[in-house]
Amino acid sequence: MRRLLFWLLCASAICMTAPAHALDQYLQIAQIALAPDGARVELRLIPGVQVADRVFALIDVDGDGQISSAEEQAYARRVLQDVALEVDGRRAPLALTGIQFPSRREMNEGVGAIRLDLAAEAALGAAGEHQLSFRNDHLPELGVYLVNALVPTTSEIKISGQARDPFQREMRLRFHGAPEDTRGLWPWTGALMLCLCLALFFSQWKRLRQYLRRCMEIRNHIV
Amino acid sequence: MKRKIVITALSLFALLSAGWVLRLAAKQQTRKINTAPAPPLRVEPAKESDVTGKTVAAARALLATLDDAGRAKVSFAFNSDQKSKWSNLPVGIYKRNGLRWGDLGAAQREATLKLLGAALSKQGLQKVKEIMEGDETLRTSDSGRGGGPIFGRDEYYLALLGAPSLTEPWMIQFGGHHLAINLTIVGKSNVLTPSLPAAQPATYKLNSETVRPLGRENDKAFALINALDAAQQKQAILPYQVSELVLGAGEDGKTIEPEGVKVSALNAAQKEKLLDLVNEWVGILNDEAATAKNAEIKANLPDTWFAWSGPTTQGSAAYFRIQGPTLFIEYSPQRMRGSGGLDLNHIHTIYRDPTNDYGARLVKR
Repeated sequence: MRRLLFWLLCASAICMTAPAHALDQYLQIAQIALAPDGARVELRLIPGVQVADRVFALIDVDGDGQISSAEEQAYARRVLQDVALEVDGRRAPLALTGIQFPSRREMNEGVGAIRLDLAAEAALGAAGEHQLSFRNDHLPELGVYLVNALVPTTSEIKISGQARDPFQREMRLRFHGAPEDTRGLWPWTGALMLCLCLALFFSQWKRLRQYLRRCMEIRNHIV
Repeated sequence: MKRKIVITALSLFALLSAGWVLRLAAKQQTRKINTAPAPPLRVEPAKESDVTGKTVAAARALLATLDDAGRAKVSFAFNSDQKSKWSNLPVGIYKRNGLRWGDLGAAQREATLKLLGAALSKQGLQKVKEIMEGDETLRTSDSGRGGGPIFGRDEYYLALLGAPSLTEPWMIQFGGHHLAINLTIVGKSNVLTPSLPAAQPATYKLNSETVRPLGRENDKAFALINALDAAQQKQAILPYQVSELVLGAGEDGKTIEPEGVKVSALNAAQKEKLLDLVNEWVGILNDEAATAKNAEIKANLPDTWFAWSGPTTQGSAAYFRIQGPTLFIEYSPQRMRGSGGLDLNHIHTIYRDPTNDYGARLVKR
């Protein structure tokens, strides 16, 4: 009886939540973080109540009502095939660095987020202008997309432009790489030049003193 | 001559080596600076006569109305993970902790309202009440969805993190479906970020009066976008749809690349409109703290951005974002089922300070 009551409450919660939140779509949120050594993409996939069964069936391939670790990995690989990252026109292969799946109950309630952490190695901090594009083609018939770039946590990368398609399935970023090595070189070059000048000055001090003395003698002679 | 060449070469080598080492050290230091949080703010101790003093007194008065079990239920450690446990989702889908409004007696409700009244502005408290009443409307609406424990004014929770104090940090958390008030108090300073005022229905009737909890936000935003000239609008309007908050609940500590038109390109009248719009979020807080926050936002206006997505005709549903060094506001009408369009009657908003959420710059790390 208690169990029945629990499921009735769950069902009523779902029914009541549906009008409160658009749950007939598969919200797919991507956040891109650029670092000198590569890009990291945090993907959160949140199936709404009305599409949760459909998404669940794609994950639970053996249909036993449970999501096994192997099924999680398989679904993550499928998503990985549907997303693409390019740096300066060349494909940068994304690797899976983290997986987190919600419970069946959370998915049924439309609040379960599948979180996939992806990363690609690339020399984004290399000096000069660069372009990065990210595209998500996962279940476009259900998908509603959000894609954003996070402000880089290093001054070696500065984003100068961003563009998206009208549905936010694709994002293109323009950014400038300025490695600390290059940017730090000028002050040190200046300091080195100054040291060289001082070294030259002191090494030639005797001759300079003689020259100045002669100048003074000529001046005194004229006066 | 030979000796001189050797000495010069050795000196050059030593200089280059020293330069290289110093450059590496500087590089490490630069990285630390870039990833470091904003510098801490000075904490001024509060007096009993100022806003913090009145809020502390109201919080202590509320605690006095509770028995031991009630006090245990409402109290959390200041640094507990309760701090980030808030959401726009309804109770039943997202579990909240603290004292449930529906479980409070008359004296306790009055004390809670006095606490919120001391901490928030008059219009802020009104907004909170309107959001709660909107949820009650959702519960009792005759469209066949009401009647359960999920929606309704009873489903709002109060939590106090840390002991109410004039000197030590503490926090008031009040929220439920479509509402999260997170107020951190450290001495004289009051910080309202992150907070989430939202609404569904966004327009309803109460005692035959039309209520729009986020009506001014909507109207002032449309007034602002229509006050921009064509070139400014071209920069402000994003060529893509935004159907949800980018940095809503669960997105603490993130900052996205700004977009839209830079406020430095706006004229004085347009800037005034923007500040007036921003005050709809900042002004939820008591007048004393809101005035200080507004001054900070005004000082940062040259580095602030305004972005818009959607139609600009008043009465339509559109997303907008205001982002500055110490400010992040989003207003996001939600997608309607099936149609794919945005629903003006279901709105999420978020108010953050990327440098000072939960009073991060005031609290000793």
